[in-house]
Formats: sequence, structure tokens, C-alpha cells
Amino acid sequence: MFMDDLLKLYNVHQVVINHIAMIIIVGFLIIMILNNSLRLWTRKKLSPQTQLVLYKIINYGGFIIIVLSIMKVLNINLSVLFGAAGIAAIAVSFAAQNSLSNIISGIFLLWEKPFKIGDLIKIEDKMGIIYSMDLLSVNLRTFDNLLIRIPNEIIMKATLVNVTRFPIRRLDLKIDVAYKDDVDHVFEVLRDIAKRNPYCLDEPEPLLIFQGFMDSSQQILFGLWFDKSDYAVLRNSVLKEIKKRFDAEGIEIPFPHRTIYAGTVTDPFPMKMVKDTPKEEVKNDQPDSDKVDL
Amino acid sequence: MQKISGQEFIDQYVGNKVSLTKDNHLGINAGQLEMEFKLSSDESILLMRRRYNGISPLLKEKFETEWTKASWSVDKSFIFFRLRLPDLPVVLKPDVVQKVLPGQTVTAYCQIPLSIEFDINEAKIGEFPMVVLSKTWFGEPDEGVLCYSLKGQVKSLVEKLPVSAIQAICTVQIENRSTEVLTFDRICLRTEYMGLYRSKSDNNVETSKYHLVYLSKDKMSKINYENPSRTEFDAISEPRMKQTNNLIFKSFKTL
Repeated sequence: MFMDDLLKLYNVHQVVINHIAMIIIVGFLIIMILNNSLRLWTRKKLSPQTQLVLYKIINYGGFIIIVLSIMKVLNINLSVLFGAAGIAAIAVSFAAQNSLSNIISGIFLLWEKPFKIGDLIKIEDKMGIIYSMDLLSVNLRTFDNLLIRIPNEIIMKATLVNVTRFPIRRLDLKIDVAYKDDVDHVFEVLRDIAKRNPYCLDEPEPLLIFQGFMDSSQQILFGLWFDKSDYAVLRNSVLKEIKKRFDAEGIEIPFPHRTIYAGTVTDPFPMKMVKDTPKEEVKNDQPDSDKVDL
Repeated sequence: MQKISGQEFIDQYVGNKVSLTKDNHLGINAGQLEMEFKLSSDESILLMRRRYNGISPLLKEKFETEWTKASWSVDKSFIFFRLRLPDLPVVLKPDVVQKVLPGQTVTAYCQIPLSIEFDINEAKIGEFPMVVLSKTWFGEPDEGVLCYSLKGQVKSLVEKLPVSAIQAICTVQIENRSTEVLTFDRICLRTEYMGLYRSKSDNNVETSKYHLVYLSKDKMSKINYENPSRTEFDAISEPRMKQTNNLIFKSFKTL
């Protein structure tokens, strides 16, 4: 019954339906050919981002042309439609303000190129590798394999850090050593650690800055330049090596400590060092006010 | 097992198809690299292993492998070895600061460690350095190039270079066309445009000649390459990038 109706409809509008079918088949065929040609021609010449934009222009543009061609075959008056579309556009623009803002932001992002697919970026508290750049948003893949969708508008407004923009980076380590240690000797040891680590670049030279006197330590900034792909292996190896070498050289990495002192007029608080004494014994020997846990 | 040195390896195996039998294991000791190849008892599988001597323990995981397998056919399969220059440009750090006076052209000779590339049945398996070089950066942090660092001797006479089978001799000609004295302690050699050649007379491996024109402190240097004549040298490796003349690159770290 349904098939009969369809056949009847086809017989009545045979020319129009054939025409529409032809437009759809030829239209999509042309889009496919253009996409494949683009893939072949631009694979090595253009960045993935530019390729993405070109794909989108071909696909969206092609789709619009197909729809308009079909409408023309169906004798729909396009000028009336465009007039109506103008009024509709005003209504839609109010309703889709955010989407339009995202699209415009997306165009600016593609133009400005603050990052490309595969870059590692940090935006607000989110960090990840650029997975895709779409019309409305940018997708990030995090290190724990989650996908984060960030609207283009937010990226335009936020402060963005592109971690892998340049081929080399500097790993900054703040290292605390005890006040008893000679800073020159610590500098020597750190320079040697950098020299022996194969992942640390010898040029630019490692940075060593005496940051200042902290509450419980002398602080040193140790900056090591490295090839951006070696981040994890350099960080792990250098930190392990610092601990090993500091232990071997007798350099102390101090715990935070505080001296309680009542002033010059009053006597210091009574404190007693108790070594190798069981806790219970200490409790029994001393009055509550004198107890100090060491 | 047949263990051969770097020189023997280059003389006998580089550029030739190498076949193996189950009784004929091959071991290569070239520079820091130690490679072993052997066949399984039924001669259907090739086993390969790579070791490095005297490298940092941190690099072992990156450069060394345990036995790995590849399918093998006694009648059809073969290994093909070829020598390659490093896959990054090389920053040469001479022992002493060098000076070239205005209008002067000097010729210097240095050596660049080579890598071994090998194919099995014309499929590239990998490329392994005979000497592991550390990496360095040449230029400003935002616009420079990642290179290998090469601390070495630069000699004014080629005969003064130590004999080494695992390194290629590179002739560098520096022309100072500026009005100032060129004083430098680093020179960046763009090895990706250099080919490798073997002398027919003494089997020495040499690179394309490197001609550098220094224009001024603010300008980049002009680089030209000159390949040795085919009557005296055999080409053993093509440049990684298409060789063109009058290339412009920053080449000196001036003082």
C-alpha cells in the first residue's frame, strides 16, 4: 500500500525527483572528491588546523549549495526566503548569542593561532593536549585520558599558557638547603648534576640563583633547559639524583623548624631533650607543663 | 660468533647485502654501539639485540633493546647497512676560541660521529648512533635549533685528525666577508644537507665540503655545499634534505 503510494508520487513528480536525486548524488560526490584531493595535496604542506578549516568550508559550503539547488528545483522563491531569513536571523541571533560568539571567537582563534592540534595547553585550572578545534569549541585530551570541551569564547577571554609552543623548556626547581651548608658547594654539586644528566641541555646553561633566606632554609633556584619531549624523564632523574648526591655530600634538605623564645626579659621555656626514653617513662617523670614532644 | 670492529664493519659490510646462516652469527662493535644478529635454529627468524658501552644509565632504556625478532627467509632475506650523519645539526665546540680576520678564508677539519642505518629486505628497521651525543640548543630560546653537541678538535691540517672509522671527516671553509674580526666559540653545522662519501684510495669517509660565508654579526651566514668528485669518491649516503646552495642560517656564536 505504502509502496504503491510512493510509486504513484514518483510517477507524478518523476522529473523533479530525478533532478533532486541527481543534485544530491553529484553534490556529495563532488564534496567527497574535493575532500580527498585536499587530503592528498595538503597532507604535508598545511598544518592540521588549516586543513580542518578547509574541510569545513568545503563540507558546509557544499551542503548549503546542495540545499539551495534543491530549493530552486522545487520552485521555492529564494529571494522571499532570504527576506524571511533576514528577520529570522535577528530572532536567531538573540537566541543563539552564545553560539555566535563561540563561532566568531573560533574564527579569531584560527586566525591568531595561539596553539595548534597536538600542543599542550593550560587554561585556567585545566591542562591537556589539543585534540580537536571545532566550530564552537576546542577539545582537550587530559593526561588521564578525559576529554574536556572548552567553548571558544572562554578561551578568547581566559589567560592561556601554551606549554609546548617552543622546542625547548626550562624546568625550575626550588631547592632548600640548611643554613649550615656552603651555598658555593651546593652550586657546584648542582652544576655537576646538570652536566651529567643526558636529558639536560648544556646550552642554554643551567640557571642557578640564590633566592634568599627562608624561615628554615637557604633557597636556591635551579633551572634546567631541556627538549620539550623529555620533561618527565628529566624531572624524575634530576630529583632522584639531587637527593642521592645531597645525601652523599652531606648537604641537608631541612624540615621546617621553629624556635620558641619568650624574649630577653623572661627566661626561655624550660625544654629537656629526652633520648632513647620510652614515651610512657617521659610522661611519668615530667609534669604536664614541661612536656615537649620531640 | 663473528665479532667485527668498526673499521672491518665499514670496509666489509656497509653498502653490501649481508646474508646470515644459523651458524654465522654477526656481532658488530662500532664505537659505543654493540649490535648482534643471529638466526633461530630453523632459520625462519632473525634475532637482533642492541647494547651501548659507556653511556649514562638514564639512556639505556632509550637506546638499548633486548632480543627482538623479524621474520627471515634464508634464500631471499638480507640485511643492508648504510652510514648516516646525525639526524640533527651539530654544534661544534672547538677546544679554543677561533678568530678569522676580515677578508680572510680559513679551512678547518673536524670529525662527525656517524650512525648505522639498516634495512631488512629493503624495509628500514632503524638508525643507531655509534657515539651517543648529548643535545644542545643553538640560538635564542624562542628561535633556535635543537642540535647535537660535539666537543672536539678542529685542525688546520686533515692529517692531524686522529684516525677513526666511526667518524666522517668534514672540511669547513670559513670566509669572513665582514669588516670585523669573526671571533667564535661555537659553530653550527647543518649536517642535514650533507652527503657522505668514501674515498676510493684510502676508504676514509668524508662529508660534503661546507663553505660558510660570514657577513656580519647581525646577518645570518650563507652556506654552500660542495660534493667531492665521483672519480675519487663513492657516494654512500644521500643528504637528508635536498641539497641547495646559498642557504641562510645562523651559524656562529660570536664573542
